Amino acid sequence: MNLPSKPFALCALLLLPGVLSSCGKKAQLEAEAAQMQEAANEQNALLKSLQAESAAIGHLGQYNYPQQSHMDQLRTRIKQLREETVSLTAEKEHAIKDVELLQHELDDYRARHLQ
Amino acid sequence: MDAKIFVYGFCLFAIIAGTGFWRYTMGIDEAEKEMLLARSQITTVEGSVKETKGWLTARKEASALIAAANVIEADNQIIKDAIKQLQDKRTDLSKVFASAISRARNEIQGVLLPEVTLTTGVRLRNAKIQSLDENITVFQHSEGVTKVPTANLPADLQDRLRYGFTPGGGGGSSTGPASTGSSSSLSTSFSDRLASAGMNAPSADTGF
Repeated sequence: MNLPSKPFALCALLLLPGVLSSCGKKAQLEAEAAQMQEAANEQNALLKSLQAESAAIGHLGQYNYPQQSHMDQLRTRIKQLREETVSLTAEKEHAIKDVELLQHELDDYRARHLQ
Repeated sequence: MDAKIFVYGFCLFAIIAGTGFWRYTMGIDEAEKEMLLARSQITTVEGSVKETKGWLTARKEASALIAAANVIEADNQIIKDAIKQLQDKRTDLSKVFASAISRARNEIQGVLLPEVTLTTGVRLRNAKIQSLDENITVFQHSEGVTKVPTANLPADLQDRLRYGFTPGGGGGSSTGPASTGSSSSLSTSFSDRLASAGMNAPSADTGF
């Protein structure tokens, strides 16, 4: 029997590594893609929850898309308001003392000069 | 014959195997594309998540700062209202004080004062105030009628009449001695007025 074994063996040798190397690669790639898709879905869900949380804060007017300058502006405003609180508190104390003093003086005057 | 069959068989097998392998590699390519697409998707979503987290943090901070500013502003408004009430009360007290002074001035007229010692040292006996105004007080006494400048009246009378005195100071929130005209500050106030008028005690007398 004169079989043409040499070329066939050569072909087999050429095809075999390709077949072996690609064996199971598709499944591996599909699994990897599925895993990534799942991760992407998770990230999508996280993104949606973050967007919902952001929406729950509501519209912040001119600070709706806050930049660093807006933050500085707000901090400055709070500082000014705190200073105003201190000033107003002092003014209130002053006014209380003023009224007390005037009341006291009026009582004294009445006691001295009016029956 | 056997060899031919074997070769044909092998060729057929090779064609079928090649086609299968080609289809298989196409599938691998497709899977690879899908994986790349998924990777690109995950990269995009991760970027979006990161950006949204940043925005969310900034919005939360801004929201907290706005809330804090509103709370402080509301507190300040309460204090402002309280100050306004105190100022109103002070204005009312000033009116009451002015009314009390007016009443005290009216009551003193015609009252017999056994002895009135002026700041000049002059004594008026059995004196009655006939009339009074901001500058001059007219006394009827045992020796006749005398016009006395307000500045020369004894301290207790000046305290009672309180000419030039604005209850509450009129300046709003000033509580200084001069503005309230308290007894202790009265003498200082009168001294100042005397000094500013260029008057001294003896020469200020006009009725003697």
